[in-house]
Amino acid sequence: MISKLSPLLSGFARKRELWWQFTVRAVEVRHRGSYLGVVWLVLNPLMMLALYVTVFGYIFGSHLRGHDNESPVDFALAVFLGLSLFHVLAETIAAAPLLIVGNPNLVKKVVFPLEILPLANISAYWFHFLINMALLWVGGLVVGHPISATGLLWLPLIIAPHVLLTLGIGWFVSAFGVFFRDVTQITQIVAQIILYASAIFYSTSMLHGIAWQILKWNPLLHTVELSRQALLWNQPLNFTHLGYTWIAGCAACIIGRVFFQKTKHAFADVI
Amino acid sequence: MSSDAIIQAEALSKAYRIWNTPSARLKSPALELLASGFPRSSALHRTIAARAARGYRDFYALRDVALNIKRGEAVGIIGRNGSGKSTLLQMIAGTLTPTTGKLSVTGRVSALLELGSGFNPEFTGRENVFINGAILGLSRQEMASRFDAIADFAEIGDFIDQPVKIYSSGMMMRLAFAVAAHVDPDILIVDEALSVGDARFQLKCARAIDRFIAQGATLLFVSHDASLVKRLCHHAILLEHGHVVYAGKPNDVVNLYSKLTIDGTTADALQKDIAALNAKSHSTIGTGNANTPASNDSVTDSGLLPADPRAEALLSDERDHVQLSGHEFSYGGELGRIQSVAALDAAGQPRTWFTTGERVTLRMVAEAFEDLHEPIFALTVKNTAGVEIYGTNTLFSQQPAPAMKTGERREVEFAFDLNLMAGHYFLSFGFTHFVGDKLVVLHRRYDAIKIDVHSVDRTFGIANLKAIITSRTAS
Repeated sequence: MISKLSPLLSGFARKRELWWQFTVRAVEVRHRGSYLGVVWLVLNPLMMLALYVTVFGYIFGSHLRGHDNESPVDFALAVFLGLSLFHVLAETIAAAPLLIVGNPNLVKKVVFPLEILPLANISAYWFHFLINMALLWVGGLVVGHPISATGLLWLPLIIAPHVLLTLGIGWFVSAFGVFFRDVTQITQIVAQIILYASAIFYSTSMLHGIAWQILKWNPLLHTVELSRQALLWNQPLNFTHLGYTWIAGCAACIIGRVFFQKTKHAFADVI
Repeated sequence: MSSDAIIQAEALSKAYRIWNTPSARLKSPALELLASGFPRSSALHRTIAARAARGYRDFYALRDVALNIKRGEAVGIIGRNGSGKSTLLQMIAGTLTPTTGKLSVTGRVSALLELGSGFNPEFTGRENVFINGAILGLSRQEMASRFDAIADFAEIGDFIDQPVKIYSSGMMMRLAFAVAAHVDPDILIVDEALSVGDARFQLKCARAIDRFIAQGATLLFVSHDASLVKRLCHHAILLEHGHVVYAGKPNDVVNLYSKLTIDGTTADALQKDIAALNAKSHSTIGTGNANTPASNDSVTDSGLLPADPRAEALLSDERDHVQLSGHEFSYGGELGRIQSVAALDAAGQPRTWFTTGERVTLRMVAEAFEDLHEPIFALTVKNTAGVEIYGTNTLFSQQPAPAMKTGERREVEFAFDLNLMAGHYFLSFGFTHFVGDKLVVLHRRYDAIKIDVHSVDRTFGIANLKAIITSRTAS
C-alpha cells in the first residue's frame, strides 16, 4: 500500500508538528503586515512597562511592601510581572470561546486534532510571557536591582501550575463556547474580576479577614505572589501556597482536557 | 493487493437535532441529565425524559445506509442537494460521528470535502500546504520534499506566498487538489471540487485520480457531472432523502439520477426502473469485482457498449427506458440496431478525452434485423450548446456502404483528425436506410458519447483551423 512508502507520523509527532505550526502562526499573526514587524513583540510590552512605571511609580506613588527602599520602578516591575502572568490567562479566556467556533473548516472539513487549537494559542501567549520576562530581567539590571538568580531557577516550578491552569481553562472554555455562545459575553467581566482578585496591584500581605479567606483560593494570586517573592524580593517561598497552585493547576488541566475530549465529537454537529 | 473492505457501514444513520427554541438547547440536555439520575424504569425518569425530548426534533440526514467499499474501488456518490452525500462523506472522513449504526474506515483519508477545506484564509498558500500536510499526517520534511511538485501541480505561480483569502475559487481548488494528490492517501474523497477549474486542470485531476486508483487507493467521488462519474468510477451510489436508492454501475446510476432531476420524479417512481436494472445487472456494491479497471465496467464508461447476446430481450426493455440513457436519447431499434459505439484513439483504445488535432476513430457496430439494400451510417458532432459542428454519413460523403443481410453485423468507422478546440462534444450516431425514396430510421442514438477535447495552446474558438503563420519584413 502506498502509505508504506511514506511512514505515517505517529499521532504524537503529527500533533507536535501541527502544534508548532499553529503556535508560530499565532505568534506571527499579531504583527504580520505591520511596518515594524517582529519589533512589536518587544515594543508592546516595553510600552506597557513604561506606562506602569509612569502611572504607578510616579503618579500614584504606590507601594506593595511597607518598607521605604522600594522605588517606584521596583513597584512597576512587580506590577509588570503580575500583569504578564495575568495577561496569559486573560487572553486565554478572551480568545478561547471563539477558537473552535472560528475555525469551522478544521472542525467539519478535515480530521484535525482540535485540542491543538487552544494549545497553540496558549503557547503563543506563553511565548509573549517569556519576552516579558526577558524585559523584566533587563529592567532589573537597568534600575540596579537585578532579578534573583536563585529565583530564576525556582521560576519554572512556580510558573508550571499556571501553564496547566491556562491550558485547562483554555480547553474547557473553548469547548464550552461551542455549545453556549453566550460565553463570549462574560469573558471581559470575568477577566476584570480575575485582575482585581489576583494581587496584581497589591500584595497578599495587604489582604486580611474575609478578603483573604475568599481570595486565598485563587491560584493565580499565589503564582503572582510567589514569582515576586522569588524574582524580585528575595523572600523565602511559601511551599503550602506553591503546592496549592500545583493541585489547582493539575486539576484544571485534567478537567479541561477531559471535558474537551468528551465533547469534541459533538462540535461538528453544532457548528 | 488485497480486496478486503476498506470502508464498511451498517445501518448507518445520522440525525441532526433541531432545537425548537434557543433555550431548549440548554434545557433539554439538563433535563436528560436529571432524568439519568433516576432509575431507567421509573415513571419519573420517563416523564422527565419525555419533557426533554419535547425541546427538539431529530432530522435524519442519512438513514440505514449500508456500504461495503473495497480497496482500489472508485465509487461515485450521486444525489440531489440535501440527499445526504456530504453527511456520508463527512462521516467517512471522520469529521462527523454517526448517530447510530456502525462505520469502519481503514487507512489515511484525504478529503477534499469543499473548496479549500482545511485551508486557513489568513495563511499563505505555502503555509497552508504544510499545515494541510501535517493534518494528513506528514512531517514538515516530507512535505518539503513534495512542495515543488505540489506547487507545480497547482500552477498558481507567485500566489503561493499570498494569503489564501485572496485566491480565486479555482486557485484554491487547484492548491487543495495538488496537496491531496501528493500525500498518498489510502482513501481520497473528492466532493464537487473538480467542478471548478478549466478543462485542462480537470483532466490533470482526472489523471491524478486514475493514478491513485491504479496504485490501489480508494476513491469516493461526488459530483453532479455525470460524465465524470461515469469516467472515473467503477461503481456508483444514488442517494435520495438519506437513503441509498440504488447502487450499481455508474451508467445506470447516472441515468436514474437524470430521471430524478430532469423529470422531477420521486424515488418511489424509480422503483420500476430499479427493478429492471436489478434484473439486468448483477453488479452492485459489495459484489462487484474491484481492481478491474479494464473490465466491462470501465469499457462501458468509456463509451464502448458491449453487444449484449440478449439484445432482443433487452429491446423492449430499453424502449421502456428511453429516458434512462442519461444524456443519450435513442429511438428506433426494431429493424436494425446500433449495438455499440465507441471513440477510439490512434492506438485503437477507447477513450473519451482527446487533444485537439489528435487522430480519432469513432466506431459503431450495427446489426440488421432485416435485409437492407442501402444502409446509411451517420455521425453528428455537437457541442454543449447543441450546435452541430459536423455531420456526415455514408451517403453524403459518397462512401456508400454495401447492402446488409438479416442478422449481419457491420462495423463502421469514422476516422478523422479531431480539429476541434477545447470543450465538451457530444457524438450522435444514426443507422438508416432507404426504402424506395423514403428514408427509414432504423436506430438513432443521440449524444451517445461525450468526449472532452483539450487544447495544447491558447488558440481559441470552435474549430482548430491550424493556421500556419509566417512573418517577414514587407518590402
